[in-house]
Amino acid sequence: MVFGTRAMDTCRETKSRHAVFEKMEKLVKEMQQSKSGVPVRTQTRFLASIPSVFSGSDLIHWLSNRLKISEEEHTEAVKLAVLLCHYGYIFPVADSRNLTVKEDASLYRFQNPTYWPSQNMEPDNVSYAIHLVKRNSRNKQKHGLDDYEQASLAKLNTMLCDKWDFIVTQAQAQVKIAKERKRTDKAILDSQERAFWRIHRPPPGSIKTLDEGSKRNFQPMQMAARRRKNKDLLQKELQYLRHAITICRVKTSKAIEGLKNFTDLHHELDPMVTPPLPSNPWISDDTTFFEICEDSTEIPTEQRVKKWSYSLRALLADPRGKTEFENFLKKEYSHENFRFWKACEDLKFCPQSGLPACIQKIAEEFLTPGSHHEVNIDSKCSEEVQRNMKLAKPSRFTFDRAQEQVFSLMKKDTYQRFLRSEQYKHLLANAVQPGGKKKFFSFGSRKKNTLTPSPKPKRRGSASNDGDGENQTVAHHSYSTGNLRDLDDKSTVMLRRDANSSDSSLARCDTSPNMVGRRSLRSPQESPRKSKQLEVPKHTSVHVADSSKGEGTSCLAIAVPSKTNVVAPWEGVD
Amino acid sequence: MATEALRAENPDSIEALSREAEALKARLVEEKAKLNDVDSCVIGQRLESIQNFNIKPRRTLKGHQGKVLCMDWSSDKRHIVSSSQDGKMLIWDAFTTNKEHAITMPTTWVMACAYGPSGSVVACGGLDNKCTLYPLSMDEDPVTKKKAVATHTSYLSCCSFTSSDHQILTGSGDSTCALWDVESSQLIQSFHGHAGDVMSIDLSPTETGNTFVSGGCDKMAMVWDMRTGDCVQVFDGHESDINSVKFYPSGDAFATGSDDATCRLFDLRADREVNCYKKDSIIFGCNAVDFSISGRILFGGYNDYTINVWDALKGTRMTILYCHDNRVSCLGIAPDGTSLCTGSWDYTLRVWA
Repeated sequence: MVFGTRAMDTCRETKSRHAVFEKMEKLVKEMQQSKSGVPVRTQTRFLASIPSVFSGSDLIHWLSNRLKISEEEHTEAVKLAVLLCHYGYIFPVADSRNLTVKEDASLYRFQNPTYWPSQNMEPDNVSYAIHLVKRNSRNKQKHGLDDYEQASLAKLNTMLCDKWDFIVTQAQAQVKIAKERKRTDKAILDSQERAFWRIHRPPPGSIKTLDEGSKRNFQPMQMAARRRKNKDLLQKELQYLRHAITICRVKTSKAIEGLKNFTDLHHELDPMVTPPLPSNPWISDDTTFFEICEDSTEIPTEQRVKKWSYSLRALLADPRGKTEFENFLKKEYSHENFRFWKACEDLKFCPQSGLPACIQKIAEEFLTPGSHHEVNIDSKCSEEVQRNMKLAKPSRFTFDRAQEQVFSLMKKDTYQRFLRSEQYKHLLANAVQPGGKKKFFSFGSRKKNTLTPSPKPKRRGSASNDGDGENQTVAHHSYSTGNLRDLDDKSTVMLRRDANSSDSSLARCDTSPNMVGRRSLRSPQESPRKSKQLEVPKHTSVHVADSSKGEGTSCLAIAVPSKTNVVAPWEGVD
Repeated sequence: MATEALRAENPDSIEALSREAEALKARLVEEKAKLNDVDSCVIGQRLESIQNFNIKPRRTLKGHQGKVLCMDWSSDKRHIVSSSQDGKMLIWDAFTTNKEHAITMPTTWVMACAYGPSGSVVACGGLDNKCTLYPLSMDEDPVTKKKAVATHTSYLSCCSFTSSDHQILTGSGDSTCALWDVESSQLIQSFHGHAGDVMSIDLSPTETGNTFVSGGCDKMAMVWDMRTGDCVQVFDGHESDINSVKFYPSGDAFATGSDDATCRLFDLRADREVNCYKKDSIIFGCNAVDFSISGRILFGGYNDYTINVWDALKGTRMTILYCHDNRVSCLGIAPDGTSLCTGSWDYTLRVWA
């Protein structure tokens, strides 16, 4: 071939990005195996014989088998075949216009490996001109040019006029060589060449599959060299490695368990898993869901209020939750901690120019002894703050340690009280029930045992199997504050056991900021053990035997501790 | 010979440092192996699979004249900003599919765009090596108010606002990430450590402003402490460029999408890869990943024009979504989790629900 060598070099360099070519080529080579591959034969159609072709259905069948594609995902094999065609590894014999693969008796041929994209990323215009001139000089019926090809031939003629003689001689020479070939060989080679240019110079309007993204700077070879040579990078890596050896990690099983707990907890809140109520606005065009979930809405939805009980962070992540929490603290005359935390949060994200003033203001308002809103932090912490404040460059993280301390204080104390407060209960009781069903309260009937599942809307296309499925999960909605009391007796036992067993700590820590493995980011003083014991279990899996029906129903309950009988872990531990 | 011996004695020589690094790496692998007590599929098998998952394209956003390269959701859950190869940035009301603003950039390949948390500003950048902010207002052309905030020495590959409109975090082909002050266009903190182009960044959902993760062409994903600018965790395992990183909604793990046709899940506490999403039949690279808001479902946009939907915990593929006619270059879950937006080289964006 005329081209190829230069392209090969650049190809090797960018190999990692072109891993996909390697994979496709491996596959195509397997396809071409005479025994285990796709059956290739000479087909006779309308008295004409078409050499070395295979049928679309054979190809797709082979792909499904080779790649273990299941029946349901059959389309995947079809799409992959189409891609192989788009990338020029196979091509339809009869139709040079539409690059697609149909699962029928239509015929396809393998491309010659010299024409594979990994060999020729960007073939040049001279080769293209030779190809067009060649076809132009031959039998019009068989090799005639399409309109767009005619146009590009004319364009190339003006563009490459200095080389045109060379192009014409080359084309003539190639035609001459071709004439000496066997008829079938000639037909195959011609079709392959044409298919190649169909990919690289596609007709206007069609996808250029071989289009690359923008170039990336560093090639793997360069990167390795860079790492080797650059002392700074190496020092940094070493510093990291030395540190990495010392940090604590959790077991894989625990890590996954933690992720699973998070997912379980948010199962009902995820519209992709549980269809939202009243409806998903993108499907129904009804914007009610957007409206009831609005940040500024008057009455928040029940799910939202429930989410606030998952963790203090979840509460503070919601602007509405933040406001409610602040209002609660205001009533208790103890909102200085919260305000300090908020001010520190704002400090982290304020414009640089406002930094000194902001730091000053926080220090004056919250840390000056005797000031109205003074927060309680230990002496070590306040010393650190003092040190930070004297730094030449004002830091956004001046109060970091103090903020962390105040946060854990809130988490242990005011947040728990908030969840137990009448205000929170009231919010939960009055929350919007998007199902449209009136919420019922059963404050009086403590004996009530039946857990009414919330109206479970059917996902589109769902079969009617959500009646009495074995593993039916009872929706969170079903717990009104009233029947939570019923659970209290059972759940308290669970809570206490959990609090004392360190095994379950991770499950509960999933939203806490004191993860063992990430201590590098945290204050080193706070030991993980300590924080474990202080952790209040916010959610526990509670098994409720529904005696009346005699059928076990497993469900996730949010154990909102009631005022009377809750035992916080730290109260029980010592 | 003499010089070689001399060099060996010098503990600061590059050879000595590399040797130490290799030794430490080997030890680290050992340490991590000890804690790898269970295969993720074993846990996955115990889980119930998700029933009746069935999402369809609900909106088609047509208007770009080039490949769509990046998109971001507004915090109002219905507006979308998207940028394309022809240098255009469009602001959509995705719900009505109306275009609200069209901004022409002085560059092609606008590879990064982001919505400010307030919803009144967007940022973008690409081959111009800059990150430019455009305040959005109905009365004035945003272009008149534009402001270049960040400048890198190579293309801008990704950008993201922190919790406020006042700071922006950028990643670049010059292998660095940087945090910028919007008002003064000053560099607040830079993050060096990648040995190749940084392709993607994501801020921690729980440790906002303190931690972020980045992935790049050196096949590494790195977790950074934004306070000090230090890399605190490094994750390897991919066999090719990492194109996308995204935190698990709990902030304890993150997913990556790579040119090696796999997506992986790395856990920060376990400090290792805990899941790998792959299949024999998937051979094209993955450009973008995102989680549903419970973290159960992982969406990946691939070069084979498809979106593979993975059960993030079981590690199995739930389904494939076909709709685009060219590579899927970007995708994102709406902030309320109700829909998924995908952008493609076929010039369109689609919203799925």
